[in-house]
Amino acid sequence: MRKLLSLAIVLLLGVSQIFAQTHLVKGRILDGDGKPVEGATVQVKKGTAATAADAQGNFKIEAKPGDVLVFSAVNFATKEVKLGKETDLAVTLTRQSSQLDEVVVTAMGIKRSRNALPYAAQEVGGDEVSKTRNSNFVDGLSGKVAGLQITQPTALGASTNVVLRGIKSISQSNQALFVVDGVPFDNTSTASGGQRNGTGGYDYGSNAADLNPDDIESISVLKGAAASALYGSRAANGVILITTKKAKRGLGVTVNAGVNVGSYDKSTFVKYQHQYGANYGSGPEINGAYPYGYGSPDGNFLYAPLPQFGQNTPQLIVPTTEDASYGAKFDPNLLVYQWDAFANYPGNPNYGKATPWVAAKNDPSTFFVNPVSYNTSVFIDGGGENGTFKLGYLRTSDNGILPNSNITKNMLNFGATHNLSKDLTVGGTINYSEITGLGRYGTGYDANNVMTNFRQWWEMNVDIKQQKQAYFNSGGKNITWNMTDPVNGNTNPIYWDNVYFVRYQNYENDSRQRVFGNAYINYTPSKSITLLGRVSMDTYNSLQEERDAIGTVNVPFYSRNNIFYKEMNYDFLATYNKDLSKNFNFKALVGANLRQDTYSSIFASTNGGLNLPNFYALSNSVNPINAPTEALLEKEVGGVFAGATLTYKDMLTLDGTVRRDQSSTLPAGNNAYTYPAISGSWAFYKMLDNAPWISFGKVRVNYAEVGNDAPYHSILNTYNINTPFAGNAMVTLPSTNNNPNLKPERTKSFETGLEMSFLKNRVGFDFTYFTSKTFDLITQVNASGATGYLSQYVNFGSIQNNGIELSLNGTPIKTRNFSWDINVNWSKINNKVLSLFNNQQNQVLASYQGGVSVNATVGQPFGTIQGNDFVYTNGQRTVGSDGYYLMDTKTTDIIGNATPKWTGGINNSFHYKSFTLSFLIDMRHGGNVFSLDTYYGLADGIYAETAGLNDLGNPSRNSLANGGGIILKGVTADGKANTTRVDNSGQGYGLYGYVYNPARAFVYDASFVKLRELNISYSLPAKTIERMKPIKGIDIAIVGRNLWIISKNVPYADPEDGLGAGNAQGYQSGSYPAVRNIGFNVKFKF
Amino acid sequence: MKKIILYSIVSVFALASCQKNMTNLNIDTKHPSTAPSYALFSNAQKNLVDYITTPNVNSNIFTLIAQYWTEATYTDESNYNLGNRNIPQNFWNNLYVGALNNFQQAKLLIPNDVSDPAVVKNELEMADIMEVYTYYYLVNTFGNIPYSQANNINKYPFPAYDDAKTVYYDMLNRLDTCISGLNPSAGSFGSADLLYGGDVNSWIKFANSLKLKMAMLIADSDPTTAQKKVNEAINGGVFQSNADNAVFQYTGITPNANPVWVNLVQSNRKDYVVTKTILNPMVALNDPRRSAYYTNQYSGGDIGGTVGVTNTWNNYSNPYFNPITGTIIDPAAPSILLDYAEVSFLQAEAVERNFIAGTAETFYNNGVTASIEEWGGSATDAATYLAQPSVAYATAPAGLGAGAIGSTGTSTTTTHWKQAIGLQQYIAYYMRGFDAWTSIRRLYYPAMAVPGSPKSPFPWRYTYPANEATANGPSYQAAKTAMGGDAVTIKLWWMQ
Repeated sequence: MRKLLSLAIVLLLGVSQIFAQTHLVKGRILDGDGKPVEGATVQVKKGTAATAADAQGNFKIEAKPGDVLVFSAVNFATKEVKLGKETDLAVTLTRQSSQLDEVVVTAMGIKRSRNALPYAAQEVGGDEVSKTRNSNFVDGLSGKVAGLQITQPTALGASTNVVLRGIKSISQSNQALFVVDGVPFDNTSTASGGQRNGTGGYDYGSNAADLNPDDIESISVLKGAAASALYGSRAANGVILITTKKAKRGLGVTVNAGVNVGSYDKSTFVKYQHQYGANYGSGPEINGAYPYGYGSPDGNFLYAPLPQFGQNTPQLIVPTTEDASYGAKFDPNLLVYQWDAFANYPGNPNYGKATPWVAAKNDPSTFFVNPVSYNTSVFIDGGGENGTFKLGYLRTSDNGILPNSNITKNMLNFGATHNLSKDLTVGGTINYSEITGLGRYGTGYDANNVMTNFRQWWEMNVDIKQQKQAYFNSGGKNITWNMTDPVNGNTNPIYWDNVYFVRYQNYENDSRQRVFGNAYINYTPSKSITLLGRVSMDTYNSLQEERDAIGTVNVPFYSRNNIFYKEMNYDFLATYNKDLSKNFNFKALVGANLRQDTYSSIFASTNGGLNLPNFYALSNSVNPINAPTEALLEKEVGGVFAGATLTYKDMLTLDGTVRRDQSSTLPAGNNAYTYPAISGSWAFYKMLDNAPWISFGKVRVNYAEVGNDAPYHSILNTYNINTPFAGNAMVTLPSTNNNPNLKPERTKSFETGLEMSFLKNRVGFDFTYFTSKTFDLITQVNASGATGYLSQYVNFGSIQNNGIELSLNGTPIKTRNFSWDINVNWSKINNKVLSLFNNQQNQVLASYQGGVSVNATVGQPFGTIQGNDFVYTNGQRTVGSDGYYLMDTKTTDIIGNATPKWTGGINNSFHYKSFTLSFLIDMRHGGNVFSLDTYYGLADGIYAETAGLNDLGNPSRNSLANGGGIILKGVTADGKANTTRVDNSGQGYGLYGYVYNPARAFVYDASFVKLRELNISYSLPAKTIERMKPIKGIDIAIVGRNLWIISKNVPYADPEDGLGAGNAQGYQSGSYPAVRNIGFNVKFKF
Repeated sequence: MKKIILYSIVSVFALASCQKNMTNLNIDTKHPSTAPSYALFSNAQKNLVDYITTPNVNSNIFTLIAQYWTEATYTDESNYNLGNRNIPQNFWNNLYVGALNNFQQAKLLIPNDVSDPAVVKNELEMADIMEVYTYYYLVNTFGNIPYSQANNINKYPFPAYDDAKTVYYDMLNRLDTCISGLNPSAGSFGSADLLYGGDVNSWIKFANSLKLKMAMLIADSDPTTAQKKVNEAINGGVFQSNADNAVFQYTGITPNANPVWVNLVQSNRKDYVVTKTILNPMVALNDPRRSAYYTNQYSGGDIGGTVGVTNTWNNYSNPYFNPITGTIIDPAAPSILLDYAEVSFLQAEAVERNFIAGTAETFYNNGVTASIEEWGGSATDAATYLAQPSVAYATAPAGLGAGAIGSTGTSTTTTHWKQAIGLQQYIAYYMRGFDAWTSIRRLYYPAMAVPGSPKSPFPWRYTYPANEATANGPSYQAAKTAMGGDAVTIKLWWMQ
């Protein structure tokens, strides 16, 4: 930190040389309310001198009498003042609606006025995503842009799904492209193993999170193809255009320091029953005995003498192998040898003893910790006549709700510009980020995902605190409740480890060092021509290390994955801007881009176990390690593009662009593709002088085509080399058949919109209708295994998206001291798969445990969830003669769809003097999610509803003879209401779970309404600040994220959670509870 | 200054022009585009053996269907739940993709790789025998299957299904061609043949033994052809001792360790117990193979689990820790593809059916003895065992006692020789669940127990993979119609 400050001082001294001038004019810029307008720019018209106002609105500028000073600021009308002899000015700027005259950054960084913008683009201010101090700014976009669907998993650092205007491609990425200052910024999310398929592994998060949120000036979301076509094939899914802060003249230092505390959201976690303990059930009673039980008279316990504890007669022993809670009813008078009776660790009072059979005092919810996270940032910017600089540093340290989890980010960014001459500027930025992760959460159905235990397989007699004690008091041994055969001395885990052992011993760690930057030359040979040459680089090295310690239930291992990524972009851009006449303005651009991508990785793992404990290196492998897996993926895309815009009276705009790309991933001869876009807009309000209540009005319409190239190595077939067998080479064909005849995937889209505001911009709306059709989809389609391949690459089919986007904004109340702003974003996307390969009706995207798959199905929105369903009679669930539900045996019934019907956000902000209160309600309606958690967990009897009362008011788990059992809701085959009561005492899995219900029973409506963000901030009044020199401003804020799920229909889980980013959504397994974050942040400006 | 800038801009522009051979970037330099045929053959052999050997609950549950084992806690598959884990699809894909496609590719490459035409011929025949061996599993698991259009994706992206019977006869014909085409005086794969080290004579015996097995499968449906083929096979030379067995010897080091060890021991899981279905008769017969087949948890003795209900793992005999032979749990345990014991039992049956001359009892005794010796027993053990009236061919299985075998899951035969041979064949097929299942479906002995909560009656076949309905829809629909449905209860064409 100190180094950073001294660096800043050095830079400051350098810069201050530039200020050494005479003829100083100073002044103060205020708004209509007499408040300073910080950051307002002051320029000498037709000159080079310029500066910006400080936090008190003060400025100093070099000028001479007769110069015209131009004062401008975002949200204010520009004002010109002709300088007389005065040297002290007081300037008042008039506030304008945020809508009007707002400059929008569009493709290639070109700024346009709202009047001349012929396509949908929505701006989000940088502070909107940085104010909640979320270390992944992408999450901060949720609910703020119509048509943008952000899906955030609940696990610490997990990847965020970012989809604009719906799914367009079946097996290619649908993630929006991130562009930072004109340069693509990689947002690949990496995951290990079968993470996306729910079979374990880690989600290493989205790479877009490597950007410093405090450096973001604004985010412009280009939703449709017409807006993004200039970016070429990668922009097919829309562009999130990020403009980083531009340094202002003068010196500014901003320091943020924040701390926040997380806590798990109880509504997203299991509600347990606390009445019954370990077992899958005693089996049926036959003549007063339980022959299929575990040996004890009631069938629920093991029943054996324990001579090691001096017991020579049979004792009641917990069936430790049975990871379920359909066992004996808790009864404090019953003394049972539980797992702790067999665990001889220091401080265990229960060793060798039978203890009362009671529910655990500490159920799994006590496992979660309340993490405290920190963030600190410093941002310094400054500049003079000949150049500007900015320097930012951000450190965040995020801890998770699981013990031993942390993600730390250090980001350093520097940018500078220098004017070599009046018409020549060079500049560049460099960003360095280092992300280190420790103990990311295990995911999916895996022993390293503790939620698999807590949500699916657990004994309610097991006390978490005691497991903790066992782990720590034993010096880190894997003393688990799930012992293999404790009676005979085998206390090793059979299926599940001690959860503390999992977190502290089987952890992963990772790091990513990334450098992202560019250097450019900007040359303005004449007033109307600008030439830009730019080279940019985005590169990172990443290391992901995973391990399972000796003593764990799985084969111990250590693995490492080294990843190197580099993307180079070489750009040339020439723009021309000229007023052809008083009324006509003509803009044109031509450009070329060359992009070169390299991805290489090498993955190696130990083989057959580890030799030395607590030592993690490949050399510690029991058997010689198998050859590491190498990948080298290279790609080059060359593009040329051109565009022209003609504007009439800043009212009528006609815009056309065309781009041609040539990609190395497509076969020669078929690898070039051209896409045109044409757009027009009419700012008709300019003609409505007689309707003063209309402050703004514009219609726009556009059409565009974009293309997409093929994935790496999808053209030619190659072989896989496998581990040799006794010295013999082993080679197989791959399971995917590549295709040398692939051609580009194409999207055609049309968009039209109407934007209006009224009553001096107090109310406004922006409405867009769009339709797009993607065809010739490059897809890895499922093949019949009988072809010799599981899949093949083909071009086929089409998907249609159409929808509406609506943004409303208003200022219902506005007085001198108080104002209330409201902003609503809403979008509804109708997505439909029109056709698939060769009349196939269905394409499986992912198959999951539970006999469930996520699919593209013809005639349905993308993402059908398939599995088996109930059998229905007259629309009601049919119950068989035995009283149980009849189940379809087909696993291809459509039982849900992952795609939401609409999404929206409502943002309210209230300003009272120096106080601001704002909150964001984020909503999603429709879409389904399948839960493997309830699928198993309900069968195992850990959830409260499995031990409720039945219609007779008796415990449903009583035997039928004792008035227990349940009458399942449904009808018999003849259509009459079911009256047969069936057993729920757990004669081999309970009534509620997967054994007696089809997959359909575990599909839930994933709608939600969330209080996503809540901010209360207070800026110290200017008067107070003036006495605190050199401090120019202090803002204090309380920020909250994910505070309250106001409404949801998924029981015990966050409906938004899933297996990370990707096309297959709608499946939960071992889901983590949502985390509420409340933070405190102080921002100092110097 | 301006010049420098202009040059810079020009050079940036120059860089932005594409490389001439940009498509070369798309060549995968970490995966070869050519491969030697023998390496494909070796790997296909290994894949095939892995798939038929593994007891992995996701892909091969024949040890559960044949009721050698039942699941301790998670009983879905023991109750014939095939759908939850997509078992038919995984088994199908393994054989077609992992085995057949690579055998097929080896056959395509052999003529280019090998210069000696006699060696080419031998190698092609061996690859073809492996294909026939693989199809034997597919056609007898599903019924009608893609065959003539299989493994040719560029020509047949949607392979049609062929009639199971037609496929089967074609396989028999192919086997004849292979046998006559093998030339013992020429070489072959050498050590790349992981079964016989390239020994052509062994392959002739293997092919004839397979032919015998395939012929006996149709003994009921087409006795004429069966008899002809059985005699041809025996005259051509079938296995004469355990030394001839088709054995795949694992190295013991992952990924070349026996999958049984991987799934039972390395995994640390305790998922299976031995069932009453096999344990009770073995106990009743004082079978010397018991100590090799399973371990008893307590001194309490041999306790078999009940099929399809939860069986607390530590209360039952289980296949995990074998203190005597260690066979099943050895990472380097061999896997048997075809053995002398079954060849003997099949010949005993051929005698009973009057296909061949000889004494059924001799073949029966040879089969029992071979099996016991294969599992680590001695000739004396076998003689003692066979001396018991309950085992001796003439009197077996009369001494077994009522109820010793599981109850009425499958219909049972009352023919004495079917019972005698059927039971011993069943015991001898331990760990070869598919062959046991096929034997049960052919001889209807021993009877299988009805599991605790069955999803279906005893499966006579597998349903088709779920993926076929969507990825190969019209072909699948046609096959379904031809088969009379897609249920597990549909009997295959050769079943009585």
